[in-house]
Parts: sequence; structure tokens; C-alpha cells
Amino acid sequence: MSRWVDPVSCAAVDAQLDAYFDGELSELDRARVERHVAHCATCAETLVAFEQLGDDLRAAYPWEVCPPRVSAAVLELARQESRETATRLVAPPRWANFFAGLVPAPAWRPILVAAAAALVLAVPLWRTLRGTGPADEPGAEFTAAELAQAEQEARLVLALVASIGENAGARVREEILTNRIVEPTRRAFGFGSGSATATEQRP
Amino acid sequence: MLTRYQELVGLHQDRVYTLARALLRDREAAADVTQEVLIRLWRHLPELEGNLAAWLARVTRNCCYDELRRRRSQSQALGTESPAEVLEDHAAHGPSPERLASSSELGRRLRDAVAELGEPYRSVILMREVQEMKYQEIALALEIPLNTVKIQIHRARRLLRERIEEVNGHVAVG
Repeated sequence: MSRWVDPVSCAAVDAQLDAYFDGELSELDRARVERHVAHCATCAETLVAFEQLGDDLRAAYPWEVCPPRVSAAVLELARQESRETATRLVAPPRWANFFAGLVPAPAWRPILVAAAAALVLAVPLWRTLRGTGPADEPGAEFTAAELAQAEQEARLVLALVASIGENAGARVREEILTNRIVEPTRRAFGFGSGSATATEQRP
Repeated sequence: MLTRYQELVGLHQDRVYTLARALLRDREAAADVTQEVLIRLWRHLPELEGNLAAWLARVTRNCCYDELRRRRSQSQALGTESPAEVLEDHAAHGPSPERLASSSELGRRLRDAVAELGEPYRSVILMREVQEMKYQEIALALEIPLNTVKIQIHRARRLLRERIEEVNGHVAVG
């Protein structure tokens, strides 16, 4: 019976033994080391020593639990900085601050409300006075399309005014303008409600 | 981003603290370094890419180095040593009271042996055996080639075994 002779020397395997032990070898190299170790007591002992050394090192440097004060401090800092970042993101642009500085915010509100109401009223009035379309003929009616267009224009103006007011620091809410200014004005002039879809008589 | 950060702190704070403690041998200083590392994690989180464990290990090691340099600069003029030299010099000092009062005799001897290893072997073996990092992570953390990590781990294990056998031999003779 012939004795098995490993073509790979101990020295060659020793150079790869750490990587083998740490699971860092390719499949091919791992198979080669395994074949050698299966027949080499010296290399097998080295692997056992590595195992022991690793256990001893982990016992000498046990996994430590970080003091709670550390995570409490860093998380508090992160929360604080997150809040500051959020505040910066929603702050009005500098040009808005410039206007707000010129006129105090409360003073803008009646101006904005008046401007919104005037613009909303101006749209259908302008269309009537301009004398174009079916509305200029006696007995003519506003069509649903015309009313819808007028409403759309009015809402765009409202949105623009509200946006300018918001940036300037004045809180202009569209529903307040719509419910308290625009709708009563429309009704008073006989334009009907803003959501009207049916054909209505001109005043 | 805050939620992700909270998760990462929970996952990695003990790992960072353990490495800092192993390198500094001082609980309070290790806690301070951990706090600094986690704050840097928060500040760099939006642009962080790649291996987080390696990034944390690198920052932890650098913060430990800064801490040791700061201590030394209080008693003497600031040197120009590399991080490895400062860490090595720190390890070359006598055993700390904390270490002398540590749990087991074997553990004490082993920590002495690791301290005497010098850099970069000490960082490499701690990252591998205690932090259980992959070779690639260690290479990224120490900014050295992968093959250098393999060689240093190979060398560190053999040096440690020799030191421990020497100490055990002296103890047996004594």
C-alpha cells in the first residue's frame, strides 16, 4: 500500500492557512488546503491554535455595551439639527422678507383681501364691458364654459395673491377669501356660485 | 434620515465603543470617542457610500489617534508621528490600573501581548478577531491593499502565539 504524498508543502499551505481559517479563500484554494490539512497533523494543530487564540482574544476584549449617555447625546443632537434644517427649509425666501420688512405683515392683509376681491370681480365685469362674446347681446346668457373659465381665472388670481401674501408673512387662506369675499360678491352681482355649472342669466 | 440614523446608532454603537476601548484602554475616553464617531456618522450620513463597518472602524481608529495626540500634546510639544506611531507609543506604556485589575490572568497576558504587537498588527488583529471584520473591510478601514491585510494577519497571529508561549514559558520556569 503506497503512502499518500501531498504535492503541496506545509510552507505553501501555511501562507494560506489564515485566509482559510477566516473563510477568505477561493473554493479552489480552500479545497487544496483542506486536502493538505486532512493529512498533516502540524497544519491541523495550527488551525486548532488559531481557534483557541480567537476565543482567548474575544474573552480578553469582550463585546462592550456603550454607555447609554452616548446614544442619548448623539440622538438629541441629530433631532435638534433635523428641526433646525426643517425650519430653514420652510422659511420664506429672502425677497419675501424684504417686502415683509417694508410693510408689516398685518398691514398686508386688508390690501391682499381687497386686491383679491377686486381682481375676482374685475374678470367678469371686464368681459361684460369689453363687449365680446354672447354676454354683450341683450338677453344673452353666460355659457357653462364661460363661467368655468371665469372661475378658473379667479382661482388662479386667488392662488397668486395668497402665495404672495404667504411669502410676505401674511396668512391668506383661500377658503376664507372664497367664502367670505368672493362668493358673497358674486352672488350680489348675480354671477351665482363659483361652482356653478349651469347657464345663468346675466343681471 | 433621522430614523435611519437611530437604527444605525443602535446597530453600531457597541462595535465602535468596543474598538475604542481596546485601543485606548479607558472607558471614559472610549465613550467620548464613540460619541465623536457617531456625530461624524450623522454629519456624513447623506453622502456615505460603501462599507459602513469599514468607515466606522477607520474613523474610530483616527479618533483614538486624535485623543492620544491631544493627551500627549498637553504634556509635551506636539509631535509629527503617524497614527500608528502614536498608538504604538501609547501601548508601550506600562499596564494601566484598569488592566491590572482586569478579570483573568490569561486575559491580562493576552492584552499585554497585543499591546506589544505594535501597529498595524494590533489594529488588524483586533479588527479581525474582536470586531470580526472581513479582510476587505479591514483593507478599507486601514486604507491598505487586501494582500497587505492577509500578510499582516498572518504575521500578527504568529507573533501573538510566540509571545504567549514565551510568557507561559517564563511563568512555568519561574
